[in-house]
Amino acid sequence: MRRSLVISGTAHAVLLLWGLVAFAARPSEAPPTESLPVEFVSATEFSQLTAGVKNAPKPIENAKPLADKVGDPKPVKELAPKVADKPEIRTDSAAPPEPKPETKAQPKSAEKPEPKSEPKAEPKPAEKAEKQKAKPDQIADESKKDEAKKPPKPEKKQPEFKPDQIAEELKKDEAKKQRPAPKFDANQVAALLDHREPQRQLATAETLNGVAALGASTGHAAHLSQSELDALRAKLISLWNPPPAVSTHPDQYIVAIRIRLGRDHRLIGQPEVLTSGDGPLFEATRDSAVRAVMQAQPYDMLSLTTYDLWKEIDINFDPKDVFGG
Amino acid sequence: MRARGLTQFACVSRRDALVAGGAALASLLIAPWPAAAVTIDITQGNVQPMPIAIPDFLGGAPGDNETAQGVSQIIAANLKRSGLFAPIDPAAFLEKIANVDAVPRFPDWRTINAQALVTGRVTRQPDGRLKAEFRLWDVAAGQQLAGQQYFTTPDNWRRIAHIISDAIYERLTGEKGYFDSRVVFVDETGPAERRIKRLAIMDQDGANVRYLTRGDELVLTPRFSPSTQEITYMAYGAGDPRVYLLNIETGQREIVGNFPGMSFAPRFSPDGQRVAMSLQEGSNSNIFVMDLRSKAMTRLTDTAAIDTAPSYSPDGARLCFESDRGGRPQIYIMGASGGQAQRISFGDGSYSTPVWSPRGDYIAFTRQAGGKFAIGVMKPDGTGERVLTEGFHNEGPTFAPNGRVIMFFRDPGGTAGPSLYTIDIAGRNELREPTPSFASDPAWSPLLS
Repeated sequence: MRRSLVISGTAHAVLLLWGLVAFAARPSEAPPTESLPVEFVSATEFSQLTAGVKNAPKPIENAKPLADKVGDPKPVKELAPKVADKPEIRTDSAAPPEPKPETKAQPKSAEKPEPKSEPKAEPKPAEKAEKQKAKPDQIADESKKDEAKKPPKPEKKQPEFKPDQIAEELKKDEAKKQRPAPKFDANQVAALLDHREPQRQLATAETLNGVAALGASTGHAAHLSQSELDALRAKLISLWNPPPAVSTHPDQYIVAIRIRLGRDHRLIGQPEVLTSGDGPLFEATRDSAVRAVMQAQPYDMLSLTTYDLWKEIDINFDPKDVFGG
Repeated sequence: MRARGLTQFACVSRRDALVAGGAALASLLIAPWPAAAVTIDITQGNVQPMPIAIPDFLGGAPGDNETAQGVSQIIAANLKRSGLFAPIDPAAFLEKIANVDAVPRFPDWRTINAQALVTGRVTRQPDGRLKAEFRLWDVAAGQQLAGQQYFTTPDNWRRIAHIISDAIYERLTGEKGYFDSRVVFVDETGPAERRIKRLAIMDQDGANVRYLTRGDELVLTPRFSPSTQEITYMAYGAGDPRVYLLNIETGQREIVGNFPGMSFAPRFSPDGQRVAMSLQEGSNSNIFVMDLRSKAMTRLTDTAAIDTAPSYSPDGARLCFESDRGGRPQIYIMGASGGQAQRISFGDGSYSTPVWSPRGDYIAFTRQAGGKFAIGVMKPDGTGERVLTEGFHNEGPTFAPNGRVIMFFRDPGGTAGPSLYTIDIAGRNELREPTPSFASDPAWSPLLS
């Protein structure tokens, strides 16, 4: 009895001693973790981070809308005051046979005066503006080129039209264009109004360009914030369930789909499949992509302030990474 | 049991495909589509079993209700076993389908997250036949994807359920199904030391088991002919083991050739005209092929090694087989008329019983290494080898008709006997195949229809 007590006591003592030595020699230490600075950035702040840069590369799409709409080379700041002189701009833009200016000119087409004087008057300030801004402003460069092409047109056509004729012409156009109006519901009317607005905003040079980073007038790139895009992407990824058989040849089953969205964040009409293919596997893959797009409704991760950017979205469903590469 | 005259009454999918194809073509012709303001790429997805709702099919008359429900239950069971679908519990259904010809209330099905919906009806015709019809709906898009009707004799109702399952599987996965098929296997009963082995055949889901031999001789390695009417197998009769040919319908059987010594490991060519097999030559064996019409025998290999287990590629142009000419058993490939063979397996251990997938993309094999038996697949050029399952004893892989699922048998050791299992070629969804007793050596038939 006593002997066993001694043995037990000794064994425990040895064990405790061993523990002391073993663990003290190699203390289990938690590796120090570096703290990560975390900042909260809202969606709007983020999009402001992507504001325009003057020396940004000039995207091709960017150039076109700017030239088309403004029709003169002035930088934005100088255009702004002219918004007040609406009649001048309109008659000017009504003369050339461009469709957009005509529709926008409708409301004030009744005002006949000053059709000829303006076009002549305008190019001059434009030239001035060019000289002033020539170096830094690429928009101006771009407009210059267009300017070079455009001025001849008004000069040719002006003699053909008397002011009254223009007015009549415009009235006819107006009549034509007003007919379909009753078809539209409230939403579409709203959309129409938005289309007209750019004529005034034209002066402030707003464009629908997603990549307008050329130091645009607003100072902000009109861009979907990364958080919105990420949310959209994450939602579609979670919903896309492509057939497993595509894993053998994922490159043959890429499906591009165009969706049109309303301001209620829901699809307008059916998604449009842009790629073509045949065979049951393409059909099944296409259907899986359409299904994902339908199920992702409502697309409320997109903010209404950028509606113009996401009213139409192209989505490429590419199964290359779905099955672990 | 042949495929009855199956008529199609609606095939919306084809029209849809035409319209979609036409629209896509038109858009290409008119202009390269102007890019929308935002373009995003989705290169990842969420692959999971597709939730599908399969409410009970309706009976045309009160007496047909039982059959109708049976059909929908078999469809649900088939799709669930495939691992690619998740049938939704009928208790969750909001809409009770009362009319197969009406458009379902899609919002009700969206609420329970169904992505596809199958409705159908089974009606007994005045002439005694059964009419089974179904519609497959895309719930998200609110469209019909497929719709067909079939006529058959009443005792064939399970096959109709399998055929409908195949139609649904193909439309939603883009691949041929495999449900309308059978499996021949060796049924094993009795104690381990006096096992009775009988050839048996059953539907792919384990139903309709039928015994083809009486159990008075040992049978091994049954294989289907492409016509699915005949099987070839090896049996220990009075003398040496021999290769036999058996007609499933008539029960008629014959010996394939008459050679001195053992003949074994038979397999049909894809056209069903020839049988390749091994013949014993002393302590070695070589591969021969026999033309079933002319009974002419052609030698394909001539080595001082054991060459066996030949299996044709689906185009019939090549053969894979097992040979120990390099020391240990490995997998080789050669032309269907013999000639130079090329080794394709180089892993540890030994490889045996290679089987070429009906799709042609993989060769399945049994690999023995480190005291374990594994079932694996590799591409015909020897690359992409992967093990699907590994354990004490796994053997005898056979491909489903669509090449997506493999059946094999597993022996746990001890006093228990072997059982059949299925697994997909990615190594997922391993399931035990129901059999009446112990079972081994499965061989999957081609599609029956």
